[in-house]
Amino acid sequence: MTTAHPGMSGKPRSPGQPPLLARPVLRASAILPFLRGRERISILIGYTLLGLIVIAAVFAPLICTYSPTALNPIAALEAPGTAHFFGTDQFGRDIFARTVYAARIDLIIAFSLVSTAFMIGTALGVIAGWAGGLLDNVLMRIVDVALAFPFLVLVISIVGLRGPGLLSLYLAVSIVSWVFYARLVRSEVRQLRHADYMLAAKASDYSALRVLARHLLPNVIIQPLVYASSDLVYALLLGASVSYLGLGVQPPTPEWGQMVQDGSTFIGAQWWLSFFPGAAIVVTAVAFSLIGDGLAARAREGSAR
Amino acid sequence: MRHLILRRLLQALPVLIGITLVTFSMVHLVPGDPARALAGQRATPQILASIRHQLGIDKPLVTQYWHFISGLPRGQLGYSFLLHQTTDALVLARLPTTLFLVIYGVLIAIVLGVPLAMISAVRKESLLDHGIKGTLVVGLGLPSFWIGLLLVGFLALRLGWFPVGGAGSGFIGHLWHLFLPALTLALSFLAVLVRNLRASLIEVMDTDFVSLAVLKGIPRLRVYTRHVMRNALIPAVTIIGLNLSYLLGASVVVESVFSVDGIGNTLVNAVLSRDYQLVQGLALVFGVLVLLVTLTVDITHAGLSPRGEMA
Repeated sequence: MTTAHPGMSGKPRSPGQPPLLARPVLRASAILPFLRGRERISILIGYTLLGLIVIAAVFAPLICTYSPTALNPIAALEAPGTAHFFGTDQFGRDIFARTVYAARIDLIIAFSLVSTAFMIGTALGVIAGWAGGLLDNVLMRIVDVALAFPFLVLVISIVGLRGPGLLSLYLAVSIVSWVFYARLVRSEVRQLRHADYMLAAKASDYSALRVLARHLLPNVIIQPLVYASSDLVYALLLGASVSYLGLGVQPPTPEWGQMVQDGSTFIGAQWWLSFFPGAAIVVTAVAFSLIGDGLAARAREGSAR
Repeated sequence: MRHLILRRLLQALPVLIGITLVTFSMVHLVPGDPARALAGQRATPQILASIRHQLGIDKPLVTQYWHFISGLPRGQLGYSFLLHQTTDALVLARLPTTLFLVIYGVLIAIVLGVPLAMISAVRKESLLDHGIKGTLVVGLGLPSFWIGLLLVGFLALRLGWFPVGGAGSGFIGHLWHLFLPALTLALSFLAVLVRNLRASLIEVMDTDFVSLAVLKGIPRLRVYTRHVMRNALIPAVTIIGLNLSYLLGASVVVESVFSVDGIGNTLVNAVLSRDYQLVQGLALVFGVLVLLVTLTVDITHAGLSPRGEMA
């Protein structure tokens, strides 16, 4: 990212000189890199799509003419048309309204799952990589064991044993998903531990906290951040899959996976019940993917430069 | 080589112990009393006590754990109180279906993915390549339960080309019944496969021996199939090996969508009916399965590469 100057002198820095111990900083362009680079188009499309979805979710009551939970048996199973854009389900509920409202819960699930895993994993990864020794060993063995299970199997089992629901889903994913971040961050920390600027920072007798927070963290944070942006796709699909299986969000709260499940018995004739909520998942996932891929490409270019 | 295998096996041992510990402690995640959850609210204290005794949860934890692992070498994985069968019998009967489905899915993914990756790599940065890449971005976001359901609705219910669910009987019956489930599984994995394969193909194409083959006047197609593809196959196999854990996880959802009676669908049903011992046993089987696959991939990979001993 930035060049670390080898060696050091005791002289204080004067404002005009280049910084002696150039501490790499988290540049805004790493996160919002659509200003330049070859990936700008895909990232731009990704952010636009995501922006539209977020706006739709936030302003759902203004967009929808129907309530997402109001029953209307007279209008049950109506095909998509001018009255109901996406048709209605077996209870006469408006699929469009339900799909738009469901964006709220699905986005919240994806973001909260990823941010929790990101925070726990990064913290434990830094600790493991920095401390080394027994602590590192124990943490990494835990990571090995967690990775030995298919992720979905572990999550479904934990959710099932704790009882279905959003809290169980959140707990189950938090128990498991931090390991990906911890492993990533740990290997970064192990590599950077002996970088010149780290040695210099330690030699300057800074407190451990200061070295960790101001010198180490800004350097290792890019990788997990990039990973998190593509992890959003998996978190979105995971939340929807678990809800599809009837273990996540419970009715009548509209959620995409659960809506697909609700419509599954009608898939032969009334395809719209399952089609539209699933399509919403795909569009959201594409938005996340475009952003994630773009950021990953940027990070690769950044480290190659 | 024998050294390497031995070392890998020794490294796997703590993971194996970890897997048993995790699956063992799973039952203790059940809020409240597992016996009451099984017997219902109106059960008498005597019934509860007898269920606790049957589950073995009236003994100290260490004894319970010892009881749990001491049965494993003999294949005792517990008992399903709802299906009235031992978990090992269920696994024995249903695991083959799951393995068939996963292997079938991988084969379909290869059949679809290799040509796509090849075209994408040969016509690098062309409109076609960008088109394929764009499609893959969509493919990455396809929920398998949704695509599976659409396939059922369109190809099975509307057109009647395929059976709606189940696994069929016999090899041909499996091939026929599991085609849509396997296709669904393949589609959920295709994007990852093609992306990685494309990258390794491009890497091979940039090597000197490929340039030499082209300069010698060997027809392009022959260079691609004989020189490039062969060398890109090792990374392809590795990608598949590394993703088998993911594929097994995805098969759980796919089996549930198509009501295929593999161990994945059994897990979902066990979870939904709160059949704790069965959940525990199946989670263990999945964990051991992934461990075995990882070990196999590790050892074959090390055996194939000349620098394997160092890895």
